[in-house]
Amino acid sequence: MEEKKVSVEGTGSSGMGWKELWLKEDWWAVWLGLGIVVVAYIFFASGSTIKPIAIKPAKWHTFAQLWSHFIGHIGAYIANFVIWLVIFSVSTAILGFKQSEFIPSFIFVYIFSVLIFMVGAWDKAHHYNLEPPLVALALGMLISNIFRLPKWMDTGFRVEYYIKTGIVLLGATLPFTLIIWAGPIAFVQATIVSLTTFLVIFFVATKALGLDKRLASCLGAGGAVCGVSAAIAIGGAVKAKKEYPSIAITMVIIWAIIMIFFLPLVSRAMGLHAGIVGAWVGTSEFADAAGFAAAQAYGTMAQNLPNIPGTEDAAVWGFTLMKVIGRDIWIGIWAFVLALISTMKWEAEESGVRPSKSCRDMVEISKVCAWLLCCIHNNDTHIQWLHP
Amino acid sequence: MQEIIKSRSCFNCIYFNNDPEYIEQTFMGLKVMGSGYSSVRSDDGICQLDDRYLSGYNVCDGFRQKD
Repeated sequence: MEEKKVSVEGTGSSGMGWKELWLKEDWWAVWLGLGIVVVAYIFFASGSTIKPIAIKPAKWHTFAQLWSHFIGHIGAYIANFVIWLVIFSVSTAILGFKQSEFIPSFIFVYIFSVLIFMVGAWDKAHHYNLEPPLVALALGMLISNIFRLPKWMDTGFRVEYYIKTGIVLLGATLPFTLIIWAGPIAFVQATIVSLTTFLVIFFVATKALGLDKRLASCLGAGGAVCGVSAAIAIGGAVKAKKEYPSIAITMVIIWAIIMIFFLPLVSRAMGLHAGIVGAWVGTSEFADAAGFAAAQAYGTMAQNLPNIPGTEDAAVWGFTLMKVIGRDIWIGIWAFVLALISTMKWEAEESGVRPSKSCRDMVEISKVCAWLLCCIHNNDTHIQWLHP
Repeated sequence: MQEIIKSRSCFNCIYFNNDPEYIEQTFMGLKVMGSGYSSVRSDDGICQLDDRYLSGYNVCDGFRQKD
């Protein structure tokens, strides 16, 4: 076989196994979230609280009021900053990030975050839709597209890691009774949405647009499950061409950014309840980070504007039920089913090599799994591509 | 047999790269709303021979042992 020249020598670290517990952001988010919950409980059990360090700017009308609040709580702000800096520095150091790059970048992120929350706490901010998540996104896009930030600053822009830690902590505030009460309905609705979205995208992409099945899989999962994460997970599962995950990721980001602004503003115009909007965002948004921003933005509007019913918690809880619990759990199922179909069927068709008997049995199982998933909600669904 | 297959898997191939930083540089938007260090990515990486994104447990005829 003729060898192809490659520009970079591979660095293929072997399967992580247990090392994943300290070499993956997801596990660090779990450790940090649980750790903070345990510390909070210990403080609570001993008659104290960690609430004073959970500081954010209070509502203000004049700069004098803002300054007075800031100076009056400077100790809490410093404590808050130091705690997050230590937590994230230690964890990112273990993940392999250079601390000489991470720490200055994190300081930049933290200062901007406080400034953005200050803008959001202005008593007129809600009249101009200056909710912190929307301001943060707009400001971030402006900075990255107008100025050229040094490359090393990327080390501190770990959006997914911060969001994951927040999601674990969010779980600690989500009432278990709400999951029992609304969970089944949310799960059924999210299941219908996830299946329908995936199948529509897949069939339109392959049948109507003639795209490759692997690209269609990345696009379908990106739209149906959890955006960027799903696109990358399915990309690996189906052995996608290198450009396919990039295409799916780009589509997800464009759609997610549009919806961050569109959903809260349209919902506001319609005067929808915060809980309903949270569920709508959870149903429609592709990415968790974007959905959380949209739900939080509308929740803040509901909290501050008298003509919008509901609370900030209702918006975030509705989003969490639909997206984080309802839709995101499908990522593993789709990855498993599509990996089997890709390996046993698509590759077999492309290479002309028939899989072994045990492999064929496995693909039959995957077909049944996929067929059952569809039939649960739609008895008329025929998955022709599974039945050659 | 399994050991032989494992030793010839992408993990040990010169063409395979699953370094999180490299993955983030390759998929430019990944870091915006995702991460190269996330569990969903598992140990998947890029085969520079076939220009495919795949699992490190794959085996193919183009295998070339890493030094």
